[in-house]
Amino acid sequence: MQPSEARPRFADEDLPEGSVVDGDAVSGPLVDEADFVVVGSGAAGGTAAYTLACAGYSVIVLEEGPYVKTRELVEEVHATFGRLFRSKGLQVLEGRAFMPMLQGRCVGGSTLVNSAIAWRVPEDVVDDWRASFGLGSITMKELDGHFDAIEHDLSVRSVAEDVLGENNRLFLDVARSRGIVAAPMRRYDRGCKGSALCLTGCQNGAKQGMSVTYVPWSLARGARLYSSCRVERVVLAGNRAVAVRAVAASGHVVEARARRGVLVAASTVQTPGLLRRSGVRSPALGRYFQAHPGLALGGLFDRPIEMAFGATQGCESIHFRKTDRFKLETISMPPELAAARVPGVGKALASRLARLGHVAVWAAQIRAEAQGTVGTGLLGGDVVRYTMTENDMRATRKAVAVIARLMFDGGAREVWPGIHGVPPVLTSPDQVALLEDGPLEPRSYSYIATHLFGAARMGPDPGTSVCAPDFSVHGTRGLYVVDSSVFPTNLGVNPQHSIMAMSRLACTRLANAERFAAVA
Amino acid sequence: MRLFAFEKAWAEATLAAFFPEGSALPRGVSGMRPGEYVDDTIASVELEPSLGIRLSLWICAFAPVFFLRKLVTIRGASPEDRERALDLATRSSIYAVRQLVIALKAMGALLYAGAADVRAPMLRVTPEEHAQLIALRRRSSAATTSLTTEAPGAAPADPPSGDALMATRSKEACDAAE
Ligand SMILES: Cc1cc2nc3c(=O)[nH]c(=O)nc-3n(C[C@H](O)[C@H](O)[C@H](O)COP(=O)(O)OP(=O)(O)OC[C@H]3O[C@@H](n4cnc5c(N)ncnc54)[C@H](O)[C@@H]3O)c2cc1C
Ligand code: SF4
Repeated sequence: MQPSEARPRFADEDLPEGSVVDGDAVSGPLVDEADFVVVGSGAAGGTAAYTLACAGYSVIVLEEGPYVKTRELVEEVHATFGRLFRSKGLQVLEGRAFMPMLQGRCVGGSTLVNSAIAWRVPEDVVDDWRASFGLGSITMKELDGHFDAIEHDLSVRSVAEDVLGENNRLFLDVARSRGIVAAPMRRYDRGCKGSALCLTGCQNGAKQGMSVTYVPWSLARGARLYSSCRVERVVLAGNRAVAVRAVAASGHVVEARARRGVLVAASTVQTPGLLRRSGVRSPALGRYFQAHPGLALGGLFDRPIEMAFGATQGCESIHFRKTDRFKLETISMPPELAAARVPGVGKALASRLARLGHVAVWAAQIRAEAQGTVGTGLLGGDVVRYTMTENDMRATRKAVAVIARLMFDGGAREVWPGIHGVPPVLTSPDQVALLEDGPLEPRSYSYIATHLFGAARMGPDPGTSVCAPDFSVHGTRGLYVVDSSVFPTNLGVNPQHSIMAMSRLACTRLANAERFAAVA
Repeated sequence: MRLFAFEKAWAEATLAAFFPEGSALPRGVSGMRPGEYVDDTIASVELEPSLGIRLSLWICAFAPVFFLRKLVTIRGASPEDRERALDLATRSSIYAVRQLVIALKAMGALLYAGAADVRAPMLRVTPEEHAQLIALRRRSSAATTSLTTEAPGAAPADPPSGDALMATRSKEACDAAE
């Protein structure tokens, strides 16, 4: 057999002729028209496009970032940040502390660079949305149908034993031995090889992100994609959304007209700015932003760990979700990122780096109660202001102490908490007390934010929400928001699955409503 | 705005102090044109982060003055003093100072650990350790049967689940039913 014959074909390689317009190659103004126009091709936008295309509607998707195909992905973090991440990975939440915030900016959005962990929104969260935010029309029963469908489409399964790797397995063993409920993660996975490279995109095509699933599948059903085209605003005629105006990377204007509606899925951080630029005025716009700030601890072991093998994130615990508002996760860090977190400078740093094969990294995601705002900066960019509360800091403190204890249980010789005011290297379980009594100051910790919610939240009252419970922007017609900016709160679990289910629910209802209207 | 020549020299000295020659790794960062790298990064990012990177550079440049009370820039300091000054800077009680210095370390790490010949030994385990890992994996694999059988990347021919849902009926079919 020829080597070329042995190569698998990826879903992003066989796209219908003419279905993708690359904004870099646009050489003059363009006008296109479809039933629905979707802004953004990430978790929410990809799902919306596919749901509507399956319903038989014509769909145009506009995506600010490029379409980077599976074969074009590279392992180097620096190159990947430059190509696939918004602002080259240099975005921050601004508040008492600066917190790096990562988002994909490419076809597939953050799903191209994420770890593919799939979690259904917990039922108590949906109950809270009903009781506290008037969202009685969103039920777990209805969402479950959408979760089932997505899990079938995107092959959600537990991490296979043969690609678990020691970073994940050790966590599972020590957590369980302490009576902490822990399990392998469920992920969008069609044949993970355990390359631990999810952050730079899956070169095996195993991770079932949007760029290899719902986006190409939508195109196969007649949708059209404009990549490298940034939507500047939604065009409203009176209060009805009729088109979007985008600027292609080549500088030319692309206008996409919508016969039935415009769906905004530009993410929690970009959606509020886009609505504002489009003339939407709401006292709630940009408010109630929430996150799951995450932070990681490194542990140096005598035994080998070989973090570079295994599902990037493979095991987790929601043991503390309800009681202490945090979730524990394993995470394999590429050397480029680990090197920044390893304590020391110069030769001391290098000797620890030379032992990276013996390092495990485990993390916590805090279900923070803090609320922030998403505004527009002086230079027109999106500015997120966010400061964690004292309760959030208490949750953090407990989470890092639990992780450190688990690492020492597993035989760690050193634990690296990365907390200012605490020794950079802990060498004994007795020192875990230093973490339990650690600082309650956000500036002392090194968080990173990847799970983002709110800022255009949903509710019946236009005074306190931007979107109505049917996902339409209050006071407009034909303009919908289907990403996590409509979520009234954060979740305490990884959001992609819930974002997709909500988007699918919104689009299914929309398609049905359009159909019934046509029949009537 | 691009870096001045003296700023590039500071960038080289700073990153070389973080990732020096003659350590447990095969080489230091100096041969990787760290000055050009910082310069290119500054030129390619938005205004705000570019100002932040420049500020980090200046803090590192004068770290020997602030932290060691020696009247030299990072470039003029001895290798030991460079390391000591930066180590103290990463632990400074002033939040902005330590964050900016750590940010420069992180930027340097992207360059340094991105080089294949440096990265490989970081991740290496010895043959004995490899055998140990295999044994650990076997021990646990025996306890479960959830092995993956599908070929990576193989997408189902007609993946849609949606066809089962009302929303996925074709519009034409609905129109026809009218
Ligand atoms: C590194 C990382 C790891 C993560 N790991 C997980 C995980 O394992 N499991 C999980 O559940 N969640 C994870 N998340 C979070 C998850 O990926 C996001 O919550 C989810 O993708 C958000 O969906 P979205 O559609 O709202 O936004 P995105 O998926 O970010 O997509 C938004 C898209 O809209 C585009 N866009 C924005 N503005 C415009 C505009 N004006 N015009 C055109 N296009 C525009 C963007 O370029 C982007 O491609 C992770 C996130 C990151 C960054
Ligand atoms: S860990 Fe698995 S899903 Fe992630 S990049 Fe590697 S093969 Fe793909």
